[in-house]
Amino acid sequence: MFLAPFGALFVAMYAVPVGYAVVESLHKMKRSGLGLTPPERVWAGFDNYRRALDDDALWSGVGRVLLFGIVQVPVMLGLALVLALVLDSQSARLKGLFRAAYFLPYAIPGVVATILWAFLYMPRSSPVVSMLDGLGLPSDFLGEDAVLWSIANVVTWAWTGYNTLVIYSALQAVPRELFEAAALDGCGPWRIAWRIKVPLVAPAIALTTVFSVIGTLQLYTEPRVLRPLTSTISADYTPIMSAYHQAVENNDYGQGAAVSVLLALGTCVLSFAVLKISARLTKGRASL
Amino acid sequence: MWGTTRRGRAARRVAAAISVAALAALAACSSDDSNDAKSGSAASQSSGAGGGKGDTAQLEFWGWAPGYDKVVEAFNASHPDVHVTFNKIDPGSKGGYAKMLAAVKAGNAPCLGQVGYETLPSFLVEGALADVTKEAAAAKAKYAPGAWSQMGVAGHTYGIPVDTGPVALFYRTDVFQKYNLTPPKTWDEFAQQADKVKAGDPAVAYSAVGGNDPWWLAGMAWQNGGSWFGTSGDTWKVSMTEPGTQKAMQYWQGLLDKKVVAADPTSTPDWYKRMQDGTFATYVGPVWFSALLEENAKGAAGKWAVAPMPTWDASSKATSNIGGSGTAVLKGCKNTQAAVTFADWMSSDPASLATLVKETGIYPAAAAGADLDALKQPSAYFNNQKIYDVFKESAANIPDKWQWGPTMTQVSSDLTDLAGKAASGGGPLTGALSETQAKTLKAIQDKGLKAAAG
Amino acid sequence: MKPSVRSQVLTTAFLFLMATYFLMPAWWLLVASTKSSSDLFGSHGFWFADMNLGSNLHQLFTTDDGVFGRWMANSVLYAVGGGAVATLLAAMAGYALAKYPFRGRGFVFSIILGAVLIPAPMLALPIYLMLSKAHLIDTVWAVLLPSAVSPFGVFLAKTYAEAAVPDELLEAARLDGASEFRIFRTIGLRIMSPALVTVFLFQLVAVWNNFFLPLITLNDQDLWPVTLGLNAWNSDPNQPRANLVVAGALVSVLPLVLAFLSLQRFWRSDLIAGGVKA
Repeated sequence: MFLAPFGALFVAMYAVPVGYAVVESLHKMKRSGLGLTPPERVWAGFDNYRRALDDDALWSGVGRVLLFGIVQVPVMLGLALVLALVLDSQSARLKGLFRAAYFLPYAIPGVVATILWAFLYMPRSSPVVSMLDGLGLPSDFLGEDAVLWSIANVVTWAWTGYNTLVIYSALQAVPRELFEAAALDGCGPWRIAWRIKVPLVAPAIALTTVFSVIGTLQLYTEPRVLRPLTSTISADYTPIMSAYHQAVENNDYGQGAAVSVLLALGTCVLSFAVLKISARLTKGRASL
Repeated sequence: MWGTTRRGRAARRVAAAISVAALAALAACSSDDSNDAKSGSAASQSSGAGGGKGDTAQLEFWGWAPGYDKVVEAFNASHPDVHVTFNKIDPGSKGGYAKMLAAVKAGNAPCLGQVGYETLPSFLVEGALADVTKEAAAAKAKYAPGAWSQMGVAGHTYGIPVDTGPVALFYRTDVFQKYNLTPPKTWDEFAQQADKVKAGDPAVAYSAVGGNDPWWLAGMAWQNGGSWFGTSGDTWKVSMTEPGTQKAMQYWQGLLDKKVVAADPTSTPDWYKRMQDGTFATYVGPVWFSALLEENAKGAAGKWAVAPMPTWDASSKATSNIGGSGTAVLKGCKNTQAAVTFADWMSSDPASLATLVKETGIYPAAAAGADLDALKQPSAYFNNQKIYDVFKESAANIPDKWQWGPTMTQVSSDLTDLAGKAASGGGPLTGALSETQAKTLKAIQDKGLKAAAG
Repeated sequence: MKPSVRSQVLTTAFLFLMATYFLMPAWWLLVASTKSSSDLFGSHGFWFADMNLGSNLHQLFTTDDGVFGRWMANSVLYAVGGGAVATLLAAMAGYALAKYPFRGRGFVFSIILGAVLIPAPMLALPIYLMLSKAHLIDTVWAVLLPSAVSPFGVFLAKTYAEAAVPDELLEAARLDGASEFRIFRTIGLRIMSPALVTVFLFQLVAVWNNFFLPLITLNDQDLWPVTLGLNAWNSDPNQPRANLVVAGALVSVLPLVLAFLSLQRFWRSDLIAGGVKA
């Protein structure tokens, strides 16, 4: 009864479109000769999937986001954990102010955030590049080797504060008496942090990991916005860019849908794997 | 959390649910399609009957160029029997084309859409265009033949051309003065001057190469009279390695290798900064680049001038074209005759053209457009040079054999990626083109069309 | 036990350094919005040139008959309207999933969760086709309807309702003869309200940032949200308006930043971490 209004909209806005995408991924447009007559939609079986799996560019996109995820996710979450611990420690001052500053990027839309960073990356107009040059550190943020990490920086910038807040709230929920007791037992602040606090917030870290992994696999906005500024980001730089490129730019919706379905399945498997691993790591400490 | 105990089952359930939803959608979609087919044929029937059961034919028109809205207003005021509604959309490659194609698919597309020449064949093979060969036949004589052919494929016409992009050489008078240069007449002279400038100041690039700009690369090839695409019977011919293209690409590759020209990504703020501060001495660009330059390099007012595009030998006059668009009639249009009437009026009526030159900065595709008053005025930004005189001459000498292919978005992005890498030091431009050609042949065949190299 | 002065200074210095990193691009935006088009690329990015904020803002709100103000208003309508409805629906659905045992409950919940995995661009075309069948293209509903669904919100609401709404309270109310709807309204909604602020903020950001769907479903410029409008200005090759785009970007993020800062104390991010301590 209470489920009905949401259910109806959910079916209309998610279930049916997903069904449509799945069905379309099994179809293709049939044309002949020059294509002067309108194309016809025909059953394709798994042709689109076969083409997707044969596409080297898609695989290198997958490799790229995996590399990105292996480096960026731990860096971002490590940073978030450290910030949360420091904010939670007794040594920190002006906590509210710092928390707000870290969280600010989350309120800035991804497109705007990337445009902002783009201005700081451009070799000739960026104040950062000119400052680094002044220090004798030439930099090329948009070069072949650097660009993936420049994208990682934008993502880290945008989401670290959010993850910090999640972990910080989990820390705040832990009863203070626990730490006081540990301190009385002679535990120093570092020991308390690593031995008591970190295990207690492990579920929060596991969850932020899952969402970060999903976000990484769906990496799209940041490279898309930076693409016109550099020749190092191709149209199928990430799997989602590839799907979008097929579906929208090449107007081959079936092909794009097939890539998306594969990607959704891959994401599903990977996030369950992450959950499972983290469940094993945190077993006995907290219920996930 | 999300059901630790039931994780395995949950995954299976998701899979099951997706297949159920798929079945439901399958039923829904198959009925959708038959509806589309019906309404499609109904539309073509009514257009065959002449349409317009009321007194005023209603037409919708989507485009992004500034000034189009004013032209539409003027048309409505002078044509009581047709009413056009203009909707401004995002530029084609920024989402406008995707929007038009989605609307065609849903059966509620506008009658008319602004379509770049390079995109017209793609729209055709997506089944998004209406054949107006008959309706448009009478207008043909008014337009430059090269522009007219851009709005058609294999003898069929799908709309009316609006503007073209005759190419010329933009150059910095301050740099030229410093090295005592006059605008180069031939590409040989161009290369010699490049060496001279490089020797004088290594920070200045003699010219900017549009390495990541596929349309610029095409423009360089276009001058040599060939074409990347063509049709032969029912087969698309792809020849991105034809001799004229090879010649142009090898030439620019030579300049890149000597580092006398720069291949910075084009149209970025950084790029315009160099246009402004004089570290680019020249740029081979189309007429509409003059407006961009004026907007984005305001500080360089009075320092830029325009000269004819260099040629391969002193006796040749051939120039080139970059860009240009037309008004296409989209599938599902119920009153194709009125649609053509409006499109033709917009592209050829002197008052309309005057507005378009002033507001949009176009160079008209209509032959009579060259005599417009607006194209005889001096340009303040270019130190009061009458730059349109140069472009008029250029427009008259554009080789008219050039054709575009049916998968230009793919060509554009592959060429952007490959040539962009090549130009910034990753290998020869000719290699990027032959690789793009292979990808293009595959992409056309993937669409179910016939394609062959040649 | 008080921490030493040295550790306080070091800690604060570290926090300050990190704050510099997080605020640097925002500072750039603030500085850039005060510049004219030519200063934007001609002067140092981190410091002010001639003060043009006033004229930029004036130009921003008067260009094309003040269409920017209209875009802002539309964005607020879509984000607040869509966010509010999405929150209410998510509250109802989450409450139902948490408090009414029924067959297939876990199944329904997994499906809703699965929606988080779907790449959004794929949904746009099918939604477009459906909306156009319903003749809703080019109306505010084309944005509001899709915005009113938040699977993630249902997830949050359910998690919270499970932990925070005591079954005994519901039973007691039932014994008093209250209708189910009344119980939901007076007990469920009230207890869940902190969680709902979080859901609302999430959806607010999601709708505000939504780009592709309005791009294809809205033709009429007067209906555009601000993201679409700024993009159009940014990508208009004939009239680059860099100073307007930058000033517009600043103005367009202000409402979100304000919403966050003012609602921050209600923000229950521990919800997301799953460790609900009601």
